[in-house]
Amino acid sequence: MGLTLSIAFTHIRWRLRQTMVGVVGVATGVGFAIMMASLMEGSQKDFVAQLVDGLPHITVSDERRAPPVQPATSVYTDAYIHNLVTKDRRPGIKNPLSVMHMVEENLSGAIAPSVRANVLVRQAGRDVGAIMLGVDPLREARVSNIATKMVEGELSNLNRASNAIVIGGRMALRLGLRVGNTLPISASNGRSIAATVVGIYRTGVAQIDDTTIYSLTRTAQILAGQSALINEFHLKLADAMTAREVAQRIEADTGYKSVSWQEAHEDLLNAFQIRNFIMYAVVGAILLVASFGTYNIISTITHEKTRDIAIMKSLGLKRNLVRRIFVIEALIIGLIGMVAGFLLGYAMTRALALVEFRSPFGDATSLPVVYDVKHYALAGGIALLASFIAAWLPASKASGVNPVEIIRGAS
Amino acid sequence: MTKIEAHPLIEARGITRTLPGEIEAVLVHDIDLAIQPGEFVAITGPSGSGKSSLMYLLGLLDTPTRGDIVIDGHSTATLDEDRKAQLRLETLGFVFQFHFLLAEFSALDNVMLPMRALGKLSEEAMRARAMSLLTRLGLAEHSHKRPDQMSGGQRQRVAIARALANDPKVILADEPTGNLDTHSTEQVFDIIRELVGEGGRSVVIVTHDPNLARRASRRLHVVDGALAPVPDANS
Repeated sequence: MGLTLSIAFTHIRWRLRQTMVGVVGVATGVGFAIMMASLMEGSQKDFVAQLVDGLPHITVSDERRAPPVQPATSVYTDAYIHNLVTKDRRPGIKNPLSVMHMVEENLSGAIAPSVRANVLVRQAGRDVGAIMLGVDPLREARVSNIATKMVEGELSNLNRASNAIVIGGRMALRLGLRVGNTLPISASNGRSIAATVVGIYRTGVAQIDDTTIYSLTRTAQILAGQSALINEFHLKLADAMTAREVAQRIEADTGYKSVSWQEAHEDLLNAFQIRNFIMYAVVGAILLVASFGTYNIISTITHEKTRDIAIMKSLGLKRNLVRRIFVIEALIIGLIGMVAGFLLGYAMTRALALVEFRSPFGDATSLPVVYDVKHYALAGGIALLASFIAAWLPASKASGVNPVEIIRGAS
Repeated sequence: MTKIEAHPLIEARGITRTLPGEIEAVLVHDIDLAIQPGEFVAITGPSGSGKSSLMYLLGLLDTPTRGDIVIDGHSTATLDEDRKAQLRLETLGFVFQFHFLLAEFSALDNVMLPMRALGKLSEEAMRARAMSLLTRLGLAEHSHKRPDQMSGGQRQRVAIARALANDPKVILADEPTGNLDTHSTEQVFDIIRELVGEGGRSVVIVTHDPNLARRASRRLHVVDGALAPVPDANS
C-alpha cells in the first residue's frame, strides 16, 4: 500500500496541470449538480408551502357525502317512496365546542372553528356572490397563513370595528374598494348588514382572493341568523402529508364530513408527481453529464500513463498493484474535486438565493433554495464512482496489455 | 570462483512464438538454449531477425506459443501472470534500448521502485542500497535528479542500477547502447561487463554491433527467428 500511495502522490504532485484539470472538471460537475438539486428541491418545497400551507389541511363541515336517510325510508324498508319531502335539519355542527375538544384531544396541530356563509355583495347596483368566513382571528392565524398575507391592515383589525371585514386584493380591485369603505352584504335569508373594510389580503390563489371575505364569527352568525352557529372547523397539522388519514379518523369519530387537502385537490397531487418526476429527471441528467465529464478527464489521465504501466509491469510489478496505483490516483483527484465541488456548489447556491424577483403584484421574492446533505452525498458519491470507473477501465486494459507491445513501440 | 550450480539460470526448451493473423508470422522458431551461471551471452542478428523477441521470451515479458522456459529450475509454462511477474522481480533485471525510467521520479526513487515492489528490505536499507548502486555507477551526485535533468548515458546508467536493484541472477539487456554516443557506449558496456560473474550472475545482451558482441563470452546468432552459426567468428 505504501508503494502504491507514494507512486500515486508523486504522479499527482508532478503532473500538477493535469491534476488541476481533473480537479476542476470534477468540481464543476459536482458543484453544478448540487446547485441544480438545491434549486429544484427548493422550488418544490416552495410550491408546497405556497399551495398546501395556504389552505387548511383538513376542513370539517356539517355537509354530507350523501343525502340523509329520511325517517320514512328507514321505517318502510321494503318500499321505495317517491318524492319524499326531506326533514329540515338545523344547519351547523351540533355542540361545536365539545366536538372541537374531542378532535383536539389527540391531534398534533391546531384547530379553529368558523362559520361559512354564502353572501351577496352589492356594489354599484350589482350583486356579486361571495363567501363569508367568520373566524376567530387568534385561532385562525394558527391554522392558515391568512394573517401573514395581509397587504393592508391586520387580521386582528376585525375586532376594532363592528361588522368589520377583510377582503381579497382581487375583489378590492374589482369592486374598487379600499380600507375604510363600507359596503352592504346580504345573506340568502334576506338579512343584510353594512360592513366596513378594515384590511386587504392577497394569498396569490385567484379563487380565494376573488371571493372570500373574512369577518368575526359573530358577524357571520348574525348574517346567517343563527347566534351560535359553527359549521366548519379548519385544521392545520404538524405534518401535512398525514392529512388524509387524520381526516378519515375525524370523520369516523365525529360523523361530520372531513376533507383533507389531498381530497380537495387531487389535481394538485398530480402536479406534485409531475414536478417530482421533472426534478429527478433534471438532477439525474446533470449528474449523468457531470459524471461523463469526470470519466472523460480521469480516463484521459490514465491513458497517458499507459507507458508507465508497461514499464512497471516489465519490472515485475503485479497487475493488481499497477491498477491500484491509477485507481488511487483517480480517487484522490476525485476526492479533492468533490470537496472543491461542495464548496463551489454551496457558494453558487448561496449566490442564487440572493437573486430577487419582483412579481407583477409587487411581492419581492428570492429564489427558493434548499441546503440538503443528501444532495452533497449523492453528487459526491456519483463523482467518486465515475472517477473510480474512469480509472479502473483504462488501467485494467493497460495493465492487461503485454508490456512488450509498448516497449517495442517506444524504443 | 563462484560455485557452479547444477542447473542453468535460463533454459529454453523448443520455444516458438508466432503472431496470430491471416498469415501467421513466426517471430521465434523452435529454439533450444541454456544460459549458465556466470555467462556473458551476446545475441546478434540482422534487424527483424527476432533477437529482441527471443530476449523478451527469455525474460518472461512474452509468452511462447509452444515450448517452455525454465528459470533457475522453475518451469514457467503453467505459471500465471502474477507468478511470472514475481519471478521477474526476484530473478531478472532488464535494460532496454530506451531507458524507460518513470519521468516523475528521481533517479533514487526509480532505482528503489523494484525493491519497494519486492518489499524485503526496510526503507532505510533500500535507500542505502539504491544509493550504493548509483555511487557504483558514478551517479552519486545525480541521485535526486529526474530523468529529464540527465544525459542519455546517465539515464541508461540509472536504468542499469534499477536492473540491479534486487540483485538479480540474470541481467537481460536489449540494445542497451543503441541510443548512445561512442563514449557513453563504451562506458555503459564496460559497466555491464563488470556485472558478469558477481555471485554467479549471467548477462544476456542483444546487440547488432559486432564489436560489442565479440567481447562476450558466447555469441548466439539469430536469423529468421532461429539459431544460426555465428558468421565470421574469427574476425
